[in-house]
Amino acid sequence: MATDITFEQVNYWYQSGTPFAVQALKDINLAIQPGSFTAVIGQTGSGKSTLIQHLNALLKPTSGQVKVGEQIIDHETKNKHLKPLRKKVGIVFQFPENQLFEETVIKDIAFGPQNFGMDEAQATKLAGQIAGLVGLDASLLNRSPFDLSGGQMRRVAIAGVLALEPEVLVLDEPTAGLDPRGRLDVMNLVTKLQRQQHLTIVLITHQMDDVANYADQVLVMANGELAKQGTPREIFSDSDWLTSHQLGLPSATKFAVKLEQVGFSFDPMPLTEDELADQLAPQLSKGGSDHG
Amino acid sequence: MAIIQVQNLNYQYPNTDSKAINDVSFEIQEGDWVAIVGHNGSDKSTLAKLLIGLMSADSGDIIIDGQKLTSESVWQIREKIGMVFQNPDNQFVGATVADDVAFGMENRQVDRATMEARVDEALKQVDMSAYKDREPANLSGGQKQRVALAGVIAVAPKILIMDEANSMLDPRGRQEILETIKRLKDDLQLTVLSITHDIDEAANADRILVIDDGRFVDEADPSGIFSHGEQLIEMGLDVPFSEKLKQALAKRNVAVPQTYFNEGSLVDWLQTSRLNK
Repeated sequence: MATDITFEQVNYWYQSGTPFAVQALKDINLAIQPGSFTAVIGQTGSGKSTLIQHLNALLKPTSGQVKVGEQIIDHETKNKHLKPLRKKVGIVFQFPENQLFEETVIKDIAFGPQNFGMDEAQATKLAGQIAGLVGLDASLLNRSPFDLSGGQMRRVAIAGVLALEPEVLVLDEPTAGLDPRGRLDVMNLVTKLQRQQHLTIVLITHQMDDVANYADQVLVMANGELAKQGTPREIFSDSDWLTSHQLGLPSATKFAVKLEQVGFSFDPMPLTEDELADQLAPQLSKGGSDHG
Repeated sequence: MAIIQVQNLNYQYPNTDSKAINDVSFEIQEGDWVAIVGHNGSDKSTLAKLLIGLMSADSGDIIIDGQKLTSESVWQIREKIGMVFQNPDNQFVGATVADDVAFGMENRQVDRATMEARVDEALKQVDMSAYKDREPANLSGGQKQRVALAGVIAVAPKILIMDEANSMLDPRGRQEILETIKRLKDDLQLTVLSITHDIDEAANADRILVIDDGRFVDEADPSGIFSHGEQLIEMGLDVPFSEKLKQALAKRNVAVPQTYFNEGSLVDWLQTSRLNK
């Protein structure tokens, strides 16, 4: 069944009730549709990671409530009721390869389902299928995960979360530290999971080009508040506001701003190189320019 | 003068079938900024480890500032080379930022007064003086890497090696580090060797060396390398936006220039084309 997620007046305090209490989330209201792709952006320390840890109740609201499908999470929710939720919402943390620990790739991927009660044979079979889905070659499955490249280790870690067969996949900067090939592979995998497996994707990222290319909805966090939400086009239409929050623009939009300063005009502002080229081509001389 | 000379270097890891570094030779001139690029697993970091003598080569010579690297000279050579690694959290030892910057000097028996002066100077150079008494753990990624840089420059190396020092940082942290390196290179006349996937970092280099399967497969200035278009992805670099846009325009039957244009020159070219319409 499709799962939608809502936050209603969610506040979260670290070390609540002590003199060291710090408010990390302030009155958050939002909705995430089943099967959608939501990007969460914001500076380091703006509350992005605190926000996503509420999606499977690793953190519970100090006040307000989070609804994931039928399940309501508030400050009174007991941990023993959370198992179904933890299976439904899988979180891939930053540098997830640091959490690999098993002797072989296949055992590492099969660990999660066994932890949720699946027998070993069935878990191993499932792990093999998931490994194929994330593009890990069968020859790697009996190798130690620590012998793999950074990009491959990242895929093993993502496979470990996918083996729980979640409906919602949350990823905290899944491409950080990878080379461009590895980044492309991971983003292609994430979009494949959304389009073919119909997973709901929630992605924390600093890559505005990824936001422009893939997201349906953008949540902008600033100082623990949901400072803005909207489509990528809505969010990136206000470059002054983004700059004042120390957030960037997609490369194509940034380039279009430079072109406007020398007399080009765009409506709407392009978000990708294809959108930019579509609007640019009719404004250019067919033969190109003579110099250069 | 060549401050780094590498001649016919070979290295093979135990229990592997092929050489990680395969008959590599190159020179780096004093004061140059050279970027070494290559996809993950292309053994860029192996090369860095050989250069500072963390591992010793099977054959070939490494000559740093006129001195051949041997098991006897390695300590003297390391005095000349500072290195910043990928993960800022793996390189802290001090309880405060100042302690951490002082650590390298403590190893070299620098006296206390000199040490304090150099810590202050190094922190000033990376624009982190205000954080002197903070705990390193509470800094942002970019700030941590700047503290790591301060620790390196406090011992006054001639050569700075950055091993993907930018890759774990957010865009703002990346920008901070790049600007700091540019300034330090000029102020301290450093030779910089950056091992990187970051196109902005590579763009700052005088020369880019492309490594694949333990060999150098290409060498050029940034515009020479960036003109490779889509192949850059396999070299471990991203395609510059100006090249992506040129390709998108070419698909729409715009006659675009064949040579590499950076963003500034592409804006100029597009403007001329618009005015000629």
